[in-house]
Amino acid sequence: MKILTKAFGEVEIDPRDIITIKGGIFGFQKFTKYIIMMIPEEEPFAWLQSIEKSSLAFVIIRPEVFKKGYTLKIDKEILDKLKVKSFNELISYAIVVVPDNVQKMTANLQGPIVINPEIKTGCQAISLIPEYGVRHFIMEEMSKAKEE
Amino acid sequence: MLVLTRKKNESIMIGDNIEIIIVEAHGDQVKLGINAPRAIPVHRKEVYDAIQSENIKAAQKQVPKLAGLGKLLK
Repeated sequence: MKILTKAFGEVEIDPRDIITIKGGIFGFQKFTKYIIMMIPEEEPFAWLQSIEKSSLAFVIIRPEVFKKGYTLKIDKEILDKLKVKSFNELISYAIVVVPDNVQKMTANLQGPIVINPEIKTGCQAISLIPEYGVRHFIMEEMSKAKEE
Repeated sequence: MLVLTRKKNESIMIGDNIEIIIVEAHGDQVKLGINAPRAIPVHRKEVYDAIQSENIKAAQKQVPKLAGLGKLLK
């Protein structure tokens, strides 16, 4: 099927790749169908693109890319909700804010998007790790990880 | 909005399985105890609000140029 995307215009997608974000993303609860789009030039960034609203898309990144020792610790109820037995079966993504000065881009580790790839279902969770906030400077975290 | 006055150790019930107890009250700070089924997530509202406002910022209108940004991360 063809969908209109925010970053790439019209794109052909496989409907089997559509992910249901249960309850939607906070602030955008009306929309629950998304697709993850990646192009090699933009790696390790990807897009979480709404199927229902073309102008709604988020830049996302795997937290493991920039956060050393990233751990997913969220409410255990989410295991049932996403039909997994352990958090290891879930893939985490952090939503990224990219300002004009890209050096200052931040990622949200407090509200990760967690997805069970097997059933293409996910949700926005709240991290129970006190150190994880909504604004982690990605570049700073990277250099911190290098120093250690 | 329903407003109720409660004393220390008194509680309110929401439905038949959520209980909110006033554990302690000191000036402008109130300590609450919450008994709810595990299926009901309980979070401080500020956390929700902070995540929501970050989401809205992330969904900004212009499309950021990501090509080549990955190099900065290496």
